[in-house]
Amino acid sequence: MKKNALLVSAIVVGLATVTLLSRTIDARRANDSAQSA
Amino acid sequence: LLLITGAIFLGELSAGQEAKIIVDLGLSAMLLFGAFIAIFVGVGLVYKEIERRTLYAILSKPIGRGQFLLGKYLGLCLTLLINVVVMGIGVSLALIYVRRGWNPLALQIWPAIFLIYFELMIITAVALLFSSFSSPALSALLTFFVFIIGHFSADLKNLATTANSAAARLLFRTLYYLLPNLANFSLITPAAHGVTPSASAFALATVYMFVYVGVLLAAATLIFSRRNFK
Repeated sequence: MKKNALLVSAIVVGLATVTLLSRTIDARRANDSAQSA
Repeated sequence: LLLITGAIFLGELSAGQEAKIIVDLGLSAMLLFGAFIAIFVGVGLVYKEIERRTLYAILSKPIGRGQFLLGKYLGLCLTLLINVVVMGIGVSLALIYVRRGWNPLALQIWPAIFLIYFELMIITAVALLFSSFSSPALSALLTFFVFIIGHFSADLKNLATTANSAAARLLFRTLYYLLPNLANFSLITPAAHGVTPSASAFALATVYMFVYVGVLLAAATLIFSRRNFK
C-alpha cells in the first residue's frame, strides 16, 4: 500500500516536471526563432 | 547498413547533395528501424514471460515486479543502443567515403543520433507500459499511435489555441503536455545541414527523457504489481 502511494506520487511529480520541462523547451524555442527572425 | 549503402548510391544521383541525402536517409532509417524494434520487441517482453510461464519462476526468486520490469526495459535499451551506435558508425563511414576524406558532418551528426536513441528509450517505455496490462497486438497499436501523435505534438498545441470550445482547448492542452513530445528529439533535418543542438537544448531533452521514462516505468510497475497471475 505504501509502495503504491510512493509510485503514484512519483507519477504525479514526474508529470508535473514533464509539463514544466515542456513549457521551458517551448519558451526557449520561441526565443530562438524570435532571435533568428 | 544496406540502407546506408543505398544512400551512397542515391547520393551519387543528387547534384552535390550526397552528404545531406546520406544523413537524412541514414538517421531516418535508424529512427524507423529502432522504433519497430522498440515497439514489436517491447510489447512481447512481458507477455512472452507470462505465456511461457517463466514469469512464475522469476518472481518466486527475491525479485520484485518493478525490478523485473526495469531489467526487461534496460535489456532492450542496451540492444537498441548497440543498434543505433552500429548504424551511426555506418552513416559516419559513408560520409567519410563520399567525401574521400574527413567530413566534419561525421561527428556533427552524433548529438542527433543520441537524441534518436533517447526517443527510442521513451517508445520502449511506452511499449512496456501498454504490455503490462494488454495484449501484444493492442499494445503495438497503441504504442504506434503514441509514436505518431508524439511527432505531431505541435499540431496538438495549435489545436489547443485555435479550438472554439474551452473544453476542447483544455483537452488538447492536457494531451500536449501529457503525451511524449517526440519533436524535441527529432533533429534529423538540422543534422543533415550540419546544425547541432545547443548544449542546453540537449540537456533539457535528456532530462525530459529521463523524467518521462521514470513516469512510464512507475506507471507500468503500479499496474503490473496489481495483476493477479494465479
